Amino acid sequence: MTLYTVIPEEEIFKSASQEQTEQAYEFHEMAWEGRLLLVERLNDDYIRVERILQPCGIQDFLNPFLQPGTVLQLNKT
Amino acid sequence: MTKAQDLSTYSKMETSLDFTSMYRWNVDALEGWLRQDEPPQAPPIEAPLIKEAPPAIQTIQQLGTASIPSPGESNIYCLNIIGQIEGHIVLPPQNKTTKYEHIIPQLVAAEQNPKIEGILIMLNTVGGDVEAGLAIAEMISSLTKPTVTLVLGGGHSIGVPIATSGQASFIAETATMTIHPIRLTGLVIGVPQTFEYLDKMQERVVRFVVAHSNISDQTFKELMFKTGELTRDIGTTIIGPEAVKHGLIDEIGGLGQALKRLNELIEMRRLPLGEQAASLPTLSNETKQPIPPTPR
Repeated sequence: MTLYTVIPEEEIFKSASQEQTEQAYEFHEMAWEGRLLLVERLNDDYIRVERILQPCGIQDFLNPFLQPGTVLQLNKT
Repeated sequence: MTKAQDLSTYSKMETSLDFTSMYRWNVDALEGWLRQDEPPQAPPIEAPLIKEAPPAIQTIQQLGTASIPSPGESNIYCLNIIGQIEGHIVLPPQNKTTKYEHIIPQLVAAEQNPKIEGILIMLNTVGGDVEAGLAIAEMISSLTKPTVTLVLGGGHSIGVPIATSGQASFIAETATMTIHPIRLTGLVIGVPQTFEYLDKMQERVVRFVVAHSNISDQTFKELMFKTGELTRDIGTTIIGPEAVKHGLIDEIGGLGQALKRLNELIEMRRLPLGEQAASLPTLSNETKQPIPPTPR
């Protein structure tokens, strides 16, 4: 892999100890109805939308249920 | 109710309450009163947060079924390329990344979907993997549908070829682009071989940019190897108008201008072939140079 970026390498590949001092992000990709969402799991039933990775169309960005920060309940079937 | 009865019910009540919960309630009330003048506190993380946003909590099945674009919906597809461009290696979680495996299928879908007539690419990237960046740039440049790229904030390093890959490119007045040589990340095994390899990688980027914008090979390399501008590196940071002056980007503009141009390109594409050629001169910056032979 050749990185071509303006961000210094030490910033990209921070060691684990440095990382612990900052907030640990735990995002997961979740497929839903043909969309790919980046979500944060709050607990077993709830997720919070971080962003839409792959929308169905441009109108998805206006969908209030998919706005970043929205808490959604997962439907257990 | 007599006073004696009243007192007896009160004392019963008191005995039925357990003191721990009463204590807590009192403390809460006191704290609430004390905090009246303070700005509202952030809610605790677990359950109260969910209570905070009742309309948002929906069973995920209630949100409707998957919608494929139907008439009346936008004919433009918007693609965001943000943060680091992530390639074959997953970057640590503190990096905000755009992954090529997300971008490429979206481009395929947008190209294939008859309802989508144009693609707007929004860039605010710091660079990233050369392979992934070039793959995205090549994909965008080979789409048959009109594509407009817009650099907002920054389009650095490998963001540069992506910024030039659209049929028309825009840069916000304050946006910057950093052009610098490809550096080595990792082990140096043999110096001449490493140099050769990096030079080749760099040549891919240079050739793509020169082929897809109005900048010359010489100017681009001059910007790339300039010393005295960047503190940590050699290269140049160019801001909006400079990028246009060098021919790297077509025009200065924001979202409005970019969408307007995209709609113009879509309109033009709808015309029959003969008329398309006639309407070409109105689009001034569309003269793309042919791909030059490898300078070796």
